[in-house]
Amino acid sequence: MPCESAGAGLVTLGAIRYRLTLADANDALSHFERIERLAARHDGETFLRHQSMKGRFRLDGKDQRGFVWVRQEQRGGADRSAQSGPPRIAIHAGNAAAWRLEKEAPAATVRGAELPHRRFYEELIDGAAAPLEINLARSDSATCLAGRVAGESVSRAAFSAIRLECSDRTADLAELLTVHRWSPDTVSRVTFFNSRTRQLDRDTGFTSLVVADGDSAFLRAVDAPEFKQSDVIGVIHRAVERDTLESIGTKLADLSQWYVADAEMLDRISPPPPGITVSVLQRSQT
Amino acid sequence: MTVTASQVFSFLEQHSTCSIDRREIHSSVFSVLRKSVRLIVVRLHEDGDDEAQETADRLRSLLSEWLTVPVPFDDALLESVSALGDADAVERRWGYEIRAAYDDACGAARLLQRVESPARAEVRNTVRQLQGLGTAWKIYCHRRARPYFESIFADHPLPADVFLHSVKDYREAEPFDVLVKVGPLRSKGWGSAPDAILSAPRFADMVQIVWSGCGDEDDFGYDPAGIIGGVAGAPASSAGADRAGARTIRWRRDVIKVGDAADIAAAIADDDELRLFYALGRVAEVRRATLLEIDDEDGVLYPPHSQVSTFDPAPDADEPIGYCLPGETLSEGMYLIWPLLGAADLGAIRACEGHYSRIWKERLRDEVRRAPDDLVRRLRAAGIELRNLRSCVRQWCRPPSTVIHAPQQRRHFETLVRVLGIDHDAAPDKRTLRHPWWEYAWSEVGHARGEAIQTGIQEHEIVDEQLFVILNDLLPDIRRRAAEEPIFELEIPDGRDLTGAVRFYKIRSIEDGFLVPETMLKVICDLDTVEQWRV
Repeated sequence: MPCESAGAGLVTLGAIRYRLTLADANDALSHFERIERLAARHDGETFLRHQSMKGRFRLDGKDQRGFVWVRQEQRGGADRSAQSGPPRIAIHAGNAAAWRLEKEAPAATVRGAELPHRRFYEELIDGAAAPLEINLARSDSATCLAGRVAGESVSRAAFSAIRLECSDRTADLAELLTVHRWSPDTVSRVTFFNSRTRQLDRDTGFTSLVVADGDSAFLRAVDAPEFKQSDVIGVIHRAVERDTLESIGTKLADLSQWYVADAEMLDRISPPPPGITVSVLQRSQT
Repeated sequence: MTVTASQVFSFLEQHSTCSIDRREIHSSVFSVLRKSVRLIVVRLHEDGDDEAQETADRLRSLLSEWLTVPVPFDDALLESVSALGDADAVERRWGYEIRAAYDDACGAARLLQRVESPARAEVRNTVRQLQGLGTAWKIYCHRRARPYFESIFADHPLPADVFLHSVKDYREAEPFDVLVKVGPLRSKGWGSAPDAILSAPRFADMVQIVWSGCGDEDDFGYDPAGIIGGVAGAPASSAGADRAGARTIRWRRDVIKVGDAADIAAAIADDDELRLFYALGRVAEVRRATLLEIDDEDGVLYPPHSQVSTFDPAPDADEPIGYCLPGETLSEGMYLIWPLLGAADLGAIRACEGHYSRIWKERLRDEVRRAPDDLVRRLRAAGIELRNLRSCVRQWCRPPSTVIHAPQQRRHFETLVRVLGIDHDAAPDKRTLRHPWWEYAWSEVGHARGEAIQTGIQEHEIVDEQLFVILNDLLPDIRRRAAEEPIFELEIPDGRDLTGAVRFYKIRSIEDGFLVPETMLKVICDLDTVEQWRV
């Protein structure tokens, strides 16, 4: 890119829009599997919350029938060792959607509730397939936005400054990205990787695509173990110091041991505007 | 208000081909000066001893400045060249070849005093022309080169906003018509400029004023996206890369030769000293470093990947107090955190700041008032071969502010104290005064520069950890002070694990491209001294 921009946010928005049209593009199916994996760890430190029951629930293992159990946390000095103990509740594939991991977005909202600004998503790309109704009400963690290394708040401020209009309504890019901490009351169609702290806001175990905002975010995303199996898009501007440019060049040169230029992909995308250079690497088959 | 991406893309859509108007200056007398100084530098570099190396570094720095900054041809030019001293002494010290080159250099410098620098004339004519046309134009130059540009237009001062000094300035500039640049296009060191000048232009035309022989860096305008399909730094060659570059900006280049040679086309081309000096760099003895400028006269050099303690005054900063990496998370406008700790829990008691400096500075000021020329002569004779020694002495006379202003090198400081004739009183307390006086004074200087805190990585980290906790508690106070002044100091409140004070320096600029001796890293250093380590 020839300058600083909200390009990474726009690319992420495009990825979100694309996945809204895909049949399996939500966390509902993988949600129970993830809870099962966490239960198998028996660490006693994983907590869940239910969409209607109050309080928090400690993950309490899995039985031979395949049920995962949670136990409600006792409030205010109750005797945890009491024989009867607090109630246990079973989680299975059929009711898993009602549970969410603490500090994460709900896996799905109540059926029928709409993703805010749905018209923006619908009308974002001319001629694109319509978003699936089920996806508008469910979170998706396959796309990740790796924010600027300057910090999450800086990323958010940059995206908030981009206003989009649809008919008589406006929304800013930060809202449309549905990062959970920025829009805590809705489903989240993207995870956020804080490039400064190298923390992912929720780890669902699989990220299909990472969009990195800036040189440092790109370098950290490429090296992050969470994204070993992911595609990575780096949106990098050139108005930086030579050392920074060389760091990117060195990383790309390193990658060229295992990756080759993907001319076919470049042919499939429309030519970028002057000032933008697009390069694509794909894993070498040999 | 900074530029928007829409403005930049709109500009590039209309300017897919930009131009470079390269004005190459030939001057036969200046060529003699360059050639002579170049020869001295190369020979002294080969000599290998410290004194020769220091002199070579000084001359290298001097010539690099002439080639990248529109310096006037005046008394200072001759003074700088003739600082090696008496020609016979030069011959005795380094032999006939260097003496002959020295004579030639001094002779050329004397002749140049009578003429205006053609580089300055080109700058003046170019700017006047641009002003007449009413175009939007800017000058890209180092912050310290700016006064030389301003002095060309002393009668009609240039507005401040025509100057761009850093990649940040460039990044934030709205598109304009013409960029004026003196010197070759280099990504680091003397005359350096952002690669984005070529890879992401914000202007339609560049007027580049260069001395003959000074070539642009081969890979200036480096774009990492262009390396795919080849080796890093090599031109893109794959179909994909070709395609990627299909709509990149194109450049049209014209070269206009100007100068005093009767037949410029036939004139012997000058060598490229900047390239030569780069190759001479003493890489084995020095480390790459990034300069953080903290005021008009001082800066701190950090090696790559340093964790720099900083305060970020931005209201939405995630971690206002913490470590930042130069070139990554550290940016201009943040504050460098500089602890001046009593270090009560970490061993050495801090010297009483100012006790020794008051003594030697008072003596120095007396000498300067009484017989300044004699003092400079005695310092030179005692072995201080510093460029502009006279101005260095004036600098050392200044009262302590950011630091205790003193020579950067230990041996220079020792010499200064010896020449000033300061030592312990006749009946020293042998229990407490086991070392020469100057060592205590030097320790005081070093402490003010932050050396004491660097006694060990582990100690450093422990101190920072504790310090960050304290500073986070003081955050409202720090924010208030930062809103008022670029440099301020806070006392650490009583009852905490650390005692002392913390200084905050606003980072004015961040610059790569230095090769620095290990001992000069992470200490406050005056910018004149820093110049010698510019690549």
